[in-house]
Amino acid sequence: MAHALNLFVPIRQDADSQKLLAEIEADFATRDQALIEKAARDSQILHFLRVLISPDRKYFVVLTEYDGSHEEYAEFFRVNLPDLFKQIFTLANGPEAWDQVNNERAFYAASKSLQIRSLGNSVYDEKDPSGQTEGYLFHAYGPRTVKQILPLLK
Amino acid sequence: MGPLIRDNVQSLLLGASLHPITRHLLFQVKTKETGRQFLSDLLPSVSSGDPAALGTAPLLNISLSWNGLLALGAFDAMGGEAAAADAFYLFNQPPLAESLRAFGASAPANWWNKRFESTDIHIIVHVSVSDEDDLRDVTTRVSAAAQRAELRELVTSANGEPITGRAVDGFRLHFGYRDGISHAPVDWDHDVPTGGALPRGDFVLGYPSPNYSTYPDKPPFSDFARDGSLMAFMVLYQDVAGFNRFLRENAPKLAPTLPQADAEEYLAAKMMGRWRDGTPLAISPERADGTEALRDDFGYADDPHGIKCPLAAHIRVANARDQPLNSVNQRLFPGGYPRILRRGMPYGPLLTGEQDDGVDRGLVGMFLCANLNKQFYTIMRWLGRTDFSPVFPDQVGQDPLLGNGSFPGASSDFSIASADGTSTTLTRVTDFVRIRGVALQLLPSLAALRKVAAPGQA
Repeated sequence: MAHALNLFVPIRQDADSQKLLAEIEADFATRDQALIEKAARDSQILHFLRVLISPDRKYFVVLTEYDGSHEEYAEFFRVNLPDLFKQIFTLANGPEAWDQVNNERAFYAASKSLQIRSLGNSVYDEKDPSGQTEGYLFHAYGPRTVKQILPLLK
Repeated sequence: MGPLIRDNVQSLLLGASLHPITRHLLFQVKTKETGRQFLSDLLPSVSSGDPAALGTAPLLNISLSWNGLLALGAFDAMGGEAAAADAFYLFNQPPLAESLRAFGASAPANWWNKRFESTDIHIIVHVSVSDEDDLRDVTTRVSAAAQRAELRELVTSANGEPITGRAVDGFRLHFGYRDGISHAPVDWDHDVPTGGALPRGDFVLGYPSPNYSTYPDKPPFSDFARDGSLMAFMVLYQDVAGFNRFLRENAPKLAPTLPQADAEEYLAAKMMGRWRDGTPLAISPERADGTEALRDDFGYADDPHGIKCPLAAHIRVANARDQPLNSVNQRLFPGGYPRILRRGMPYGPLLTGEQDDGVDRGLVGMFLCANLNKQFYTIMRWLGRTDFSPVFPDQVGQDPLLGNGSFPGASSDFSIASADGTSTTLTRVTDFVRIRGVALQLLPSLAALRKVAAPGQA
């Protein structure tokens, strides 16, 4: 069944960070998007994924729906998209941030702390990494996973 | 780093005890001081070193949960709970139900016979003994220390007996399979293992692991954890009557030309991946061969479609050896399939036939590793959903023995391929194994135990 990732990464408001943000924004379609596309397709655990910047340019936002546990998902992202997350965490905490967060425990902790809970309650009473009931997520396909859905489309 | 100092490592980590009886006494600490007194009382009896070298004398090991470490004030001089929570990884969270595939009857709400919760467990005293006299003596001694320390004993059974495992007919498990064959060989004395053994850092905290990041990784917590291991303590109920009924009803579908008893043995072997005497299907797919029963040197490269050993057979999911991982897992597990150290013993009386007697029986298991997520939880996830390798046509299948039919989206179908290109699909209507309880424990070094028991003197 799918879980929602609502990752809101605060962006530092200094000039260097805003410059990097503009570069990411400009290069995303030609550089990051293709990398994400390949990793996401290979994973067969991601239903949907999109990346955006909040209108006030204070948050870098990663929204996904994924199958499996948060622990395995976080590690999948760290291992498979290190360049993207290096930029994201640099935006949040400066150039040294990635070195500090680029390990299984710290990345998991960061992803947990940056997650914003959706409103409402999970219809499957699913728990978040802290054991609390997850927010509401509409499931058009019930608890089916990507690996179940894809063969049905052939 | 130099050779492992055996005197500082609890015996449970270094090997499986050959004692036929084990007992696990679960306690909750009331105050820091009395909890420490309890540890101090037991410390002289804690066993260290290779259990095979310790003879028939009783073995006593102690494991501590996250809440237990907090209750004992283990981190008071290290920055307290917040600092420790930053240092450990997943050990400081309750067991993860989704990763354990703990749904339906196996859901955490049903654990420990609903008498307490996993988070209530602070200390587990693990006892291995040769006979009932030793069991009584050691239990009396531990219970007396617990009473002096005013510990609350956590008991799951209605009759008050602690969780007690007893060997069944040698190394047999309740479903009739021989246990204790496949143990991961570990090079305890070198950072870079020799002779094909696994690195000690995969199981002992504080040593480098080429396969996993292990936590805690920074002082003072890494020093505290060194020579210890992380352990999942599990009580697993086994539905023997349901399993026997499944064999009787389904064996003729799989092997219609065999006599019923032989067909049931054949199906049981297909579910495990070994005949009940231990013979691997990968080596002897058509019959049990006692001379091959203890073989562990085989792979599945010559059986990519599971004709000899079904793709989802228990041992082929728990450790798929040379079978390819999917591309994502190849990046996550560059060293290959994750391994854990298993220690276990059946509990409850034998049952034959298909009439359940309502008596609790199953397996008490202890699974040791250095990274809960990449080792223990990953294996549990894959047992509950066979989506880790591209060989599975059905990416939502389960291990037929440990599968949880209530896990959303999982299939209870078990496919057994034949050499003629056909396959037989059998559907489980019940879970043969149900989780009765899981506790995440640290099996500390002797030095760490001494530090917790008497922080001022360590």
